[in-house]
Amino acid sequence: MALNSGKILMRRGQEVNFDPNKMMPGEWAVSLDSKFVRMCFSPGVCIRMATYEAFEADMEQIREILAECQTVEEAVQRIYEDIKDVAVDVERIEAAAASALESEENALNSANLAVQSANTATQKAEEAEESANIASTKAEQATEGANTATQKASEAAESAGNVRNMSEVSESYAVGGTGTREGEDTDNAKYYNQQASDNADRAEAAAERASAVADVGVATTEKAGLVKPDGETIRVDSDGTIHADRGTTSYSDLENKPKINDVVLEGNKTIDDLGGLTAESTVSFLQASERTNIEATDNVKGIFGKVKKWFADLKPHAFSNPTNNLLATVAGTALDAVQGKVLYDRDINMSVGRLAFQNKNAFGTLEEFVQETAKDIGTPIIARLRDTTGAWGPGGNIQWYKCLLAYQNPYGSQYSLGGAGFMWDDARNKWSIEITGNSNTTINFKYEKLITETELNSILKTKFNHKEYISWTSIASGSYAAGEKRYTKTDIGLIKELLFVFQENSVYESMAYEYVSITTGFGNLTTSYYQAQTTKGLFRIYYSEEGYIDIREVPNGLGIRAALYLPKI
Amino acid sequence: MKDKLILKDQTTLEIEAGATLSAITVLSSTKEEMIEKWDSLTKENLSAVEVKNSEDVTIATYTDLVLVSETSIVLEDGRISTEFHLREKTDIEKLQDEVDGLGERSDMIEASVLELSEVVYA
Repeated sequence: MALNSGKILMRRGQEVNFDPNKMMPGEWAVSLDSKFVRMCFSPGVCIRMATYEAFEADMEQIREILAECQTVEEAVQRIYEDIKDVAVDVERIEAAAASALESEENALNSANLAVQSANTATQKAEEAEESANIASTKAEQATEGANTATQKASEAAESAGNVRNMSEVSESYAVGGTGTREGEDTDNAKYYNQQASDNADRAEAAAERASAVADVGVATTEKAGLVKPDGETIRVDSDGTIHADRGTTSYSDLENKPKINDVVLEGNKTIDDLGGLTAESTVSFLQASERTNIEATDNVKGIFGKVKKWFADLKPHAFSNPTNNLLATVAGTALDAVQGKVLYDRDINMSVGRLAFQNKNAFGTLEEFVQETAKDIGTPIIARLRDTTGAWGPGGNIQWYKCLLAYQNPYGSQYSLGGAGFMWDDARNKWSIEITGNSNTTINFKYEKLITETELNSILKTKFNHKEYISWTSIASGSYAAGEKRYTKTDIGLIKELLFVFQENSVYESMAYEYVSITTGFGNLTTSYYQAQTTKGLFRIYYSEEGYIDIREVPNGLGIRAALYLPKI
Repeated sequence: MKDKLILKDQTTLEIEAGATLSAITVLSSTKEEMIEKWDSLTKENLSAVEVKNSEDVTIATYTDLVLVSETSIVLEDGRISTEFHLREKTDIEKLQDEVDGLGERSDMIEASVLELSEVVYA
């Protein structure tokens, strides 16, 4: 340490010039170039001090090594080389410690020698004193000689004291505790030896740690060790800064789940940047060419394309309520399924000839009409009979065919047509029918369901040409309108069925019978004669071949009102 | 919302489900209301009728309808259920209407001629 214009400076210089042997105990040495700082504990025993910056530099060095090395082995080697420098320092420290020890031993030896010298001196002094005593004794013999001896003894005593002082000084420098020197307890060989020993221990520990570091290997799942960043998810900058990408976290609590838009992807991008779907994303797609179901393997565009196809194929009626009535005349809506039963109950299928009309107010409901004796009972309203060949009568085993009656006879009389008639059963308060035919004949018959006049008119309009070819108007009692007309093929085309509708005529309600005679001249049927005995109802004739019909009124009958309807061709 | 029967003068009647032209059921709270609805089924009003469903979509249009009959019953809750029987005019009826119209037109023309003659000879 030196004083320079009032400043306190440490011993300093270039590292290459540093010589620990020239250091004084308690003196600092600063290497200006290497920035090493050392404390001297005894000449030759200088311990380098560690600094914060040095640690930082060491860590930086290690980081650099880790960043630069391609393999763990290389990293270990690099670090080891650094450690070697540390080891060198350790060796030097150890050497210094050893030197300190040696110095301490030398100091001890010196001290011992000094002690020995002091003892010797003491002994000599004692001998000298003894000699002086002898000399004093002899002094009586010679005062001058005694005085000289006394003087010599004093000189000897003085020498012995000098020797004693030198021994104390040696002891002070050796071990301290003599009280002869200020700060001797921390400025003696023993103290410095202890310091050197402690530093040697620390150096040894450091060496062990360094050695441990040198021996560390690659970390495994079972032991700690060196690790290396993968350069993708964990990266190390040149300055040693470590970066790690955001990892995935599993959340059991849905409320704390990270939002999709919070996810940072490669290149610091979000899902929006990469074209992913968010609430605001748009998807470019094309409508599918065919209407097929979506599949789990479809991508987003494909799914949307299929969905668009389905939407495009939807017809307008898909978006409106079905029509729950039988009034519709405008296309575009679907019929409610409940109307199916309504239509079935109405049973207006003409192909099986289920036509009739009824004045509901006069006759009551036809649901009351049941068939008691006939087979194959369904919901009998009107009976039509046909034989086993399947042909409707007349012909075959059925003498009469068809009856149509919706008129209540208060007298319970039977209204029959060719033996098949409806009869009011007073006991059951129901209509019943009797069927007669040839004996041993199995008669298959079928009932027609009644419909209202309005419905009949509707059917006439749609299925028939709704054209009245013959019409008899009611006349006063006592006269009749004779009508006769023949219809040929050229007039009416191929006739499959004729429909005679006898309309209500109040004039004839009081009459029991009405007659109309129909003569046919069709193919396989011979001229037949039919009598319609009814005031209301329809009379249907089926023919299989072309021909003609003659329609005329039976004489002696009263005028009737009927209409002939021909089917649409 | 029920289906609706809209008459020519835009009188709207709510009709029950399952209606046919011959059986259109209308509910009324009182007899007076029922009569009012009945009275709206005039010849003129039935000359152009539209049927709309509960979504106000037109499902049927009719012209020249005729009221055939009306049947009303009182329900347990006191409301009046009325079934109107309608039908479309027959061709003869339409021709008759046309003839009637011609007759009116003829009368009008005749009156115009008479008036004109008075003017000429006045």
